[in-house]
Amino acid sequence: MKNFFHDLFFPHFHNNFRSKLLHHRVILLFIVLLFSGTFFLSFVKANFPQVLGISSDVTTEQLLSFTNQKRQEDGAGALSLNDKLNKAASDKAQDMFAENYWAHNSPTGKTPWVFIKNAGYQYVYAGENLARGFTDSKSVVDAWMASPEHRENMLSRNYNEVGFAVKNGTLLGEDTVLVVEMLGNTSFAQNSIPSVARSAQEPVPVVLNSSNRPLIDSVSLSRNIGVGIISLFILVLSVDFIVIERKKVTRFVGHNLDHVLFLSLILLMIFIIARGVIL
Amino acid sequence: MKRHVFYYFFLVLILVLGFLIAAASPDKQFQAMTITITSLFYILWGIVHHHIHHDLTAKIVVEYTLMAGLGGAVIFFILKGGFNL
Repeated sequence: MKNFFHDLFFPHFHNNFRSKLLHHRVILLFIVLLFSGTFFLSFVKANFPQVLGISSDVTTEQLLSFTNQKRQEDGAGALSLNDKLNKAASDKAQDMFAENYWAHNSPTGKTPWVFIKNAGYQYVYAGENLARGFTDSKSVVDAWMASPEHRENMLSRNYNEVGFAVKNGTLLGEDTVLVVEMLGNTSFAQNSIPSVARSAQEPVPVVLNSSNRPLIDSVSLSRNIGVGIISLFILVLSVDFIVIERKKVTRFVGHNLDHVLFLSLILLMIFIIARGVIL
Repeated sequence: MKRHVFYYFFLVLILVLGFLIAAASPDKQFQAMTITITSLFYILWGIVHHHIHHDLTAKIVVEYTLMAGLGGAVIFFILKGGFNL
């Protein structure tokens, strides 16, 4: 067993002074396994959605709590949940999935204000923030806070009420968790006086029901496997390079540094692909 | 050594450019296309680099192709297996 791992990770006489993991057949095996794994994951997702699928810990309660925490730190009054704004956010999310768009205005010209009005909310001020692909509520709020326009929306003294929708579905061809935040106020805001949250509001059910959530999040699973494989190859390439440099062995192989640089790009891309986006 | 620095500068330029272009868009299909093109440039760069240094062999071409294939397979695994793209 010890020899097996030594053979796999360290270059020496018995593996032709090239870590076994870097042999062509082994790399090819990894590629074949990754493609097979892709179809296996797709099969499990399609046939056992309760086991594997898109899942996140984003909840309305946490979004409200983190939003109000940020507002209080900024000296703004807390927002209270409003049923009509919740409905507007839910309708907007459904419309985005149905018409397959990632924008504030729908391809048929529906603005966010249409959803708010249709929900029966007579606003004086209204705003909308969107997010998708996040795994937890804090990341959503942090991403909005990091963007000047979204931050301004979230912390605006013009709003005293908010509604959220957290829905999973397929948008622009990818499975994702969509978050819609609708902010509003039915009267003219008094900028100098922070509004007080109305605690008498009915608790609003979280749209993404925990019982419908799959056991394993497919994005986290595939991302972690991808990061693990790329990191392993970067590590073995580095070890291989150091050992061979020390032993002064001449080989006719590609430059390890090239591969490390390329795989580092892939590692960075994994994080870019798996990150959430806001609008 | 000076020539090596130039070649590595060019490689880093290709990789950074590929990263910046892909990172600028939230569209995963566009990101996948950018990574594919960057990987093809990487194979080409490896061949040219070794050819100039007169140590290009078929095994080296296969090695660069496999490395690019491994990177592509991981990205495909995440996009298709994770996001169902």
